[in-house]
Amino acid sequence: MAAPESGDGNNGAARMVTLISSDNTRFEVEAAAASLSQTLQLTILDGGGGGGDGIPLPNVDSATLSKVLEYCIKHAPAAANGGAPNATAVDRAELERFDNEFVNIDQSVLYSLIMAAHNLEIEGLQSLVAKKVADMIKGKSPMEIRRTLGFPDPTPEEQAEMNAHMLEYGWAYE
Amino acid sequence: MSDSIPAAAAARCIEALPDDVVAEILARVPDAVSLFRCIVVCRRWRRLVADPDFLLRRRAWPDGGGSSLVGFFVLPQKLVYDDEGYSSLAPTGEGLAFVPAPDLAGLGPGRRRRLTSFVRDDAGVLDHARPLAARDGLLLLRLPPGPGEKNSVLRMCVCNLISGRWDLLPPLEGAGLIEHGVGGYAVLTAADHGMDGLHRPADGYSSFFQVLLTGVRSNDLQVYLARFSSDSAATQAWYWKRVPELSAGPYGNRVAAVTCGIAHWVFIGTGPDGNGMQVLHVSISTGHVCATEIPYHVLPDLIQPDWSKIWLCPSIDGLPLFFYLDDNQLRIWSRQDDEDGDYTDEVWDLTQAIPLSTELGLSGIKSLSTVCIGEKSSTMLALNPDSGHPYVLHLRSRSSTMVAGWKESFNYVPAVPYEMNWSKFFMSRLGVQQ
Repeated sequence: MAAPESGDGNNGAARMVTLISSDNTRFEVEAAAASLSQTLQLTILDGGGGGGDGIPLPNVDSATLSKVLEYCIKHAPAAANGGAPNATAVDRAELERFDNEFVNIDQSVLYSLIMAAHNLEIEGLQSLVAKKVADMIKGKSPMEIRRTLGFPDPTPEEQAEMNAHMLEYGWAYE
Repeated sequence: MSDSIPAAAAARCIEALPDDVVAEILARVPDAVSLFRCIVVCRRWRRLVADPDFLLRRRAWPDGGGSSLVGFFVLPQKLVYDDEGYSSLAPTGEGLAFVPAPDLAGLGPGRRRRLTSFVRDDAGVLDHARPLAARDGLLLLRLPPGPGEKNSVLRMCVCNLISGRWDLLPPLEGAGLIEHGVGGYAVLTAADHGMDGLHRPADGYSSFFQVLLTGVRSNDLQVYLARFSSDSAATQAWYWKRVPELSAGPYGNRVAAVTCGIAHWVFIGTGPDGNGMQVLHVSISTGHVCATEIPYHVLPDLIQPDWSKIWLCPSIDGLPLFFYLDDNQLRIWSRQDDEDGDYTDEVWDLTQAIPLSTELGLSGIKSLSTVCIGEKSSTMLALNPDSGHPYVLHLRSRSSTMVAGWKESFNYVPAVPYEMNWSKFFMSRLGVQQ
């Protein structure tokens, strides 16, 4: 079996692949970065995405894809090291700072990102966005959660259920 | 890439996300209280949380799942003086309080609760209950005597906070067994009985449990064990048994240390070497009792011990350990395997000596004393009598955290540590069948 791509490519030049968003924008990116996506990694290992072909991503628009790639490019070196055992504390702190800043964005963008991460199987990104949304839930009442996350107004039935829960489980609301 | 993925790339709100993505979000909700509120946000969230796979796999549970320390039940008391200047302890009238453990993944620190916040009690029966023992979601309480009832009558109940139900025990004429606060207690679950068959509660009881009480009876100054089980196979009456050779106790932990189907307490007894430390062992499934003498000299490095500082606790692998918290140091002894397998030659090793200052981050505090031990979570509640501040010592991570929401009136009573498995709690309250 052939050795897996090291990410450095041949002759020192990094191998590049082209990704095509749902609105037909072409993104050229290092194979190592795109390979953070489990889905893309298989295609790339098969030799896809090079030259003029490009890999079409019909479920990801260009705004979301550029954000996804920003994450992948930043995380690719650490991922190539097999996680971060060799990374210095400074590198790790820098990644953490990047991550915190990265998800400090509009909620609708978070949802597009998590969908893209889910479809492209980018575990780190999915988990980062899920954590961000989970932290928005923390400490809020059910009604506040609904408002914060953009649910429509509750039906009388849903409202009654929330009230009953609050009465029955005082400890969770004190 | 799968073609079956809907064109939800432009999901603008959380409702448009597929189930598995929402489940990923819910799995990361950082604390149990927030997750518990999520179940009424909408039907879909409730369905996703009520999935046994979700509850069992969730990694954000306190202590990574299993039993975690949720908090402490305490009955606030104060010193009162009679006309002649003698002091005694009396409840302050506030009633039973629950102080959450400083665990960000559980209830969160600070806000005290009342017991009735966890279990329903419209008649106010539990208002002035005194906490005695807790184990794996069960809480043993002593209720005040009924009108015209003698003080020596012990009225108790077992609350199951996982199911929210509670059961009254038949009254016990305790004859001074525990009323002066010197008794030992245990409340035990089916899991503590080992693999000896299924245990079902008898009619009239909501859960299966066993309660053990031990101490010196005031009428004959002998040590007794009283035992009650809600098992449908038992008679639901109290059993009494005298324990020979013991004369005073229990010392250290009031709540039994439980290891591999045996409940243990520390007593003083009359062994061949005179008065010495004895460990009372009670078989949980048979009620068989025996005592082992622990001569002082088998605990290396312990000179002139203060009895009240000797605590028993099971190790993670179920062997009994001795804890001794004194002079800025927590010392832990464990029994070494005895080659002939009997208890005649006790060999104990001082296996750990943990300095409070460097390892537990409590520099300058020398007078900490043990209040109670959370067996399942490997935690100890220790009080600094000078400042009145209590600390939770986490023995696995070697860290300490100050407990918020503690009042001075709590310092007069031993607190009962309450440990619970949160995923079991969610399953019970959501009606999830495994």
